[in-house]
Amino acid sequence: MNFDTGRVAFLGLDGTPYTLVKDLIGKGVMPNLKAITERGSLLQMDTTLPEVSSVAWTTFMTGVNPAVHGIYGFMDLKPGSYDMYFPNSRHIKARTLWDRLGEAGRRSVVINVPSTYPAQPLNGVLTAGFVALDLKKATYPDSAFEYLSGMGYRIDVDTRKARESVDLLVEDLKETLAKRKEAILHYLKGGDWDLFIGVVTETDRLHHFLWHAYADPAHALHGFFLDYYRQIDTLIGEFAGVMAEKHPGVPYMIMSDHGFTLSEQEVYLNCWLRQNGYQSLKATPPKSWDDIADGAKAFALDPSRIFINLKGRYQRGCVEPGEEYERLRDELAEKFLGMEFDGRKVVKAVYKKEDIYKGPHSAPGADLVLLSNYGFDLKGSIMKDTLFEKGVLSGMHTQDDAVLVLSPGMADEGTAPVPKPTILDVPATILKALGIKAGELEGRPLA
Amino acid sequence: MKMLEAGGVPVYIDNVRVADVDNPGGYYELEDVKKIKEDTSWMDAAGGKAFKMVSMLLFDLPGDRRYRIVFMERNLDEVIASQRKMLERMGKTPTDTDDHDAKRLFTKHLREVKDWLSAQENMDVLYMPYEDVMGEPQASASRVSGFMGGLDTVKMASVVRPELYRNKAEGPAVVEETVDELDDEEEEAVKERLADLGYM
Repeated sequence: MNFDTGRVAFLGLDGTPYTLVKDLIGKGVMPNLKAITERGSLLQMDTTLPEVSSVAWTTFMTGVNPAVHGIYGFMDLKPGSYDMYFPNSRHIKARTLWDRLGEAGRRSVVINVPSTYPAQPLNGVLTAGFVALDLKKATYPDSAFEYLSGMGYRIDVDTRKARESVDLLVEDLKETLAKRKEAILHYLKGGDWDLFIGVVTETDRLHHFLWHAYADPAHALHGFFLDYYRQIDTLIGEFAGVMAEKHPGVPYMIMSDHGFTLSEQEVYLNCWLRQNGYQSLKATPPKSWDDIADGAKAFALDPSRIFINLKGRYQRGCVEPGEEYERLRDELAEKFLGMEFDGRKVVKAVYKKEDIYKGPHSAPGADLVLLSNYGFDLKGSIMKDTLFEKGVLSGMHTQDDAVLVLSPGMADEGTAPVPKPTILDVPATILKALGIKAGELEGRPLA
Repeated sequence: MKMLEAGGVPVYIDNVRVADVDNPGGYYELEDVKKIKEDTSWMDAAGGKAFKMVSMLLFDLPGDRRYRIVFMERNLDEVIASQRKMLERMGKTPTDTDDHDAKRLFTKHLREVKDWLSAQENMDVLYMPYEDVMGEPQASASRVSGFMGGLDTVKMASVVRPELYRNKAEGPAVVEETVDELDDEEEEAVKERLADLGYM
């Protein structure tokens, strides 16, 4: 790396796939990003398992895997029980990038990173992203709340209204992005930061609801989809412009936390477990995971997490640790890999806990994590009694198609890192650019 | 530190910061410790000796040597009250919100550092509640001697000055981790948002 400024900027585009970026650059929809990547680096990147934003962004912000930072999904089970809770920012068990900067007396601005709610005090400014509920509770310090509330900042698209009306969704996407852009550029220009992070999550909402509009050039909203990415590209251009004008020599990165593809079928894993004799219910319809009947061998949590109902771990656990546990895991893995829909394999890979989660907080991790083939959106709902269903949402996450852009000069032109980058490499790259040593981070600097 | 010194452990200090009203027994500090991130050259001379370090800097201890760490635990309300008095003497006016935020930050930090310590194979840790040291100096001295090996526990207990135990708070001396869940209404709102995006 040629920079030695001790500062770094970062722009997140939640859910933006590498393959989409390549396609849109090729179609002339994203000329600003094209210009950046021609002189910098455009990389395809793997994300976390499971490939969901709460896990991915927490991994990004801490530089360690879920068994160290403690976040395995948007919802999790309270220890020993079948009750769910929402792991919030206070449950993160590892230092964030901005914690480390604060310890070194350096300042961070963090805008809209998912899984940072409620806002924790830091040396700088933070306004939390998804699933933030209240702007005051999402923002630190008070002066930042005053600015954001005054300019009409929006935490998120109204997803309830989005389900009711595509017209409302379209308007909300435009307005939320406009406010997000205003806030990001305001703080970027302000310059009172050593680390700047701004994340756009509207891209994820666009993809969840309207991926089919991108996939079908004849769709009525195909033009809107492309125009939205023209707006994203305009933001990227202005971001790069501010960096060149006000922060010359400061490197920046653009990254997504996972990719997207078309969802053809939602696959309800708890239904599969019931159909295959591994689970039954004591109440129909079930209201919660507590309605899983005694004797259930396994259950699933969103999106693709399988838990063995282990004795000693759960109140009504019935599977013996050791041989029975291992045999059951192997049996389930084999059967999941054999699951088919219309002659196509649903599950691409099955991972055991110990193979992907390494650290002091591995206990809450799922016993098996599934990775689906494109088109099959694995779901952990306890209530569904159909195995396959075409869902309302047309986009689903992918694990192997996230995007990472390094600004010109960060890395040698034309060289792609070997092996393929993972999301863990990004915080390692950021801290190296900041000149902060962090031996316990798990990734490798890419520049 | 005074107890360790009395018990026969050589201490590595520089006497730069002298005793004052906040710490009449002296600080027993070493300025070089604060620069450990950039410079560990002083550590060779510290071998076999005790030095004082704030917990945040434990992460920067080099991995090429073994450590025995006596980790003093104090009621967080007492720590914050003590910090508040020091800040007031410096002419600053901490608010209740500052105290609340500080407690949350300390709680999170303590959780992280204890988890990290448990995973370090080159570190042995003895957790010592400050209140126990003040209330039962002889028993505490014996515990430390058992951990360090062969110290003079009578001399160790003799240097404890309970009259300097100020800012005493109600409640247990051992830090209890508190993690704030969202309230029920917020949890329901979160579930709705997640369900809208197909995550429930």
